[in-house]
Amino acid sequence: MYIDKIKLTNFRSHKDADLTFDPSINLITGRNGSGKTNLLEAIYYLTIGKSHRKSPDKDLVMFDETYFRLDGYIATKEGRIRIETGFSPEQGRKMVKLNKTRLDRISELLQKVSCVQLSPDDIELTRGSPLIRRHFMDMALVLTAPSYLHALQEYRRVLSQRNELLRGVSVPDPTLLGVWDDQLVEWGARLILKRFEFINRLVDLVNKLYHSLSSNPVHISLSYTPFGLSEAVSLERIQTLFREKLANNRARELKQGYTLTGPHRDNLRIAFGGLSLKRFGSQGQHRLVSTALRLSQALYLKEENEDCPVVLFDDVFAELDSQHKELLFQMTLRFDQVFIVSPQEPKIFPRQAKKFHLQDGDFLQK
Amino acid sequence: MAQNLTSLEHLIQILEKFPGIGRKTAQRMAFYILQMDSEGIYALAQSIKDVHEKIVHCSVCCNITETDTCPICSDEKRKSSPIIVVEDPIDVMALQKIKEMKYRYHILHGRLSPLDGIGPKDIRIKELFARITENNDIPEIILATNPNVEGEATAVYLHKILKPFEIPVTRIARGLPVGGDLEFSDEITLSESIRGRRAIR
Ligand SMILES: [Zn+2]
Repeated sequence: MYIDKIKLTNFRSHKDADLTFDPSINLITGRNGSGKTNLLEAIYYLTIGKSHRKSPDKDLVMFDETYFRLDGYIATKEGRIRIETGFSPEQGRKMVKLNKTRLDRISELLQKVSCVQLSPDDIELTRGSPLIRRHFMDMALVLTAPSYLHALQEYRRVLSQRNELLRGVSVPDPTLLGVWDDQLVEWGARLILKRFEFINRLVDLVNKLYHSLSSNPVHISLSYTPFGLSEAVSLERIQTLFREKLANNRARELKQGYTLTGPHRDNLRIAFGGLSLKRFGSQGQHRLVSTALRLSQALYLKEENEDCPVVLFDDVFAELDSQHKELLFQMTLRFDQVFIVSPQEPKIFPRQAKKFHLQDGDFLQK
Repeated sequence: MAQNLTSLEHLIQILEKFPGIGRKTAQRMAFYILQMDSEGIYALAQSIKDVHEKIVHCSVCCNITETDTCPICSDEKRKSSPIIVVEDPIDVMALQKIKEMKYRYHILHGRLSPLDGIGPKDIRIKELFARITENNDIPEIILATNPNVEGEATAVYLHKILKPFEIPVTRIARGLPVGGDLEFSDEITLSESIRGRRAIR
C-alpha cells in the first residue's frame, strides 16, 4: 500500500499542508524542530489511529486552535481509499471517516491500512522492560487479526474487573472469583496461542533480516515460555496450565490484591548466539537486533495481510556507521512505500526519491 | 453564562448528566425548551412526573410497569414458558420484538461489575431465586445478559448458583454483533441468538 496524498490541518506545527507522496521513497529533511517528526506522526495517526509517541489527542492540536484534521488518500490492495480523521478537545471525541462514512470504532481501519515506524527508541525493544516487547507482539497481531484485538480488549477488561475484586476489602466469594477466572483463562489462552504463532514466524524473519544487516553469522533466538511451555501445544493445554497457576497463586493474589500471572506479565527473551542479549549485548548489537526486529514486524504484516505496510524511518540512519547505513538503505527496497526522515540528505541514496525539505514550518519540494 | 441566567444554567447542568449528552447538546436542548409554549412545557413536565410516580417494579419479574403484576407476568398464554434473564428493562423492549414465541422475563437491573462496585447482592438475583423456589412451572432459564465480559460473568455466575434447582439453564448464542448490546440488535439477530442458545460449560 502507499499513501498518495495527505492534508494536515492544525496538526502540531503544521497549520495547513497538502502533500503528494512518491509511491516508493520519500525523503524528508530539515533541521531539528522543523516539524519532520510531526509529519511522520501524522502519517502514523492516519493509518493506526493514534500517536506513535503515545501523545494524547489534545496535544496534537496546534497551539491556539480548536481542532486538528488529517485527510488522506491511500492506495491499498483493495483499491484507493480515503481516510479522514480529526479531534476537537471541545467535543471530546475522535472522528474517523472511511470513504466519507463515519466509523464507530477506529479499529475498523486497522486491518485495511498499516504502518510500522523505526526510530532511535527502538533500542528499548531489546534493552527495555518486558512491557515493550509485549506491546511489540500485540501491535503485530492486532494489525493482522481482528480476533486478537477483540480478545485483547476483553482480557484487559476482565483483568481490571478481577483485580478490583482482589483489591476489595472483603475476601471475595470463591464462586464469584471463579467467574472472572473463567474469562481470564478463556481470553488469556487465546492471546498466548496467537503470540506463540507470531513468535514462530518471527524468528526466521528476524534472523534473515539480521544477516542482511550484519556479516556476523550468529543466531538470534526468541524464547517465549508462558507457564513454562516452550511451544503452543493446544488451547486446552494452555487453559489447564493457566487455571493451575491461578489456583496455586490464590493465596498470594488475595494478599497482594492483583493478578500475578497471565499474558499481561509475559516476557519475550532474546538470545544472541546463545547469550542473553539484555544482559550481555553491546550497544551496537542492541541497535542491530532491535532494528531487525522492527523490520521483521513490518515483513510479518506484509506477508500476513498480503499488503505491505507503510514504513517510516525516523532518524535511524544517524545511529549507524556508513556500512550499516548502506545495508539499511538496501532494506528499504523490500517495502512498497517508505518515508525517511533525516536532518540532511544522506550521502548514499540508492533509489530515486521524492524529496521534501522543511524550513520555517513550510515544505519546500525539491 | 451571565449571572441572571442561573435557572437556564441549572437546566443545562441537569440535561448534561443524561447518557450520551454533552455540554453542547445540553445547551441546544435547554434553548429548545426555552422557546416551547406553556402547553408543551406542561406536557413535558407532567410526563416526567408521571413516569416517576406511576412506574413501579413488577413484584414478579422486576420489570418496570404501571400495574403490578405487569402485563407480561399476568399473560395466561405465557404461563409455564421459559424465563429470559436480562440486565435492564430496555432489553425486554428489544426482546419483545420477537413475536413468534412467548417468553417470560426476569430483569436484574444491572450486571456484575467490581469496578462499579456491583456484586451479586446489588442486582435482583434474590428475587429470581425466590421466583424459582416458589414456582414449579419454569421449564428453562435463558440467560440473555449482554455479550460483553460483565454480561458473561453475570451469566456464568447465575449458571453456577442456579445448578441446585436442576432446571435447564442456557445462554443465548453469540449471534449478536461482537461488542453490541441487546438494545441495539435487530429482530432477526435476536431470534437467531435465542434459537441458537447453548448449554453453559
Ligand atoms: Zn412482571
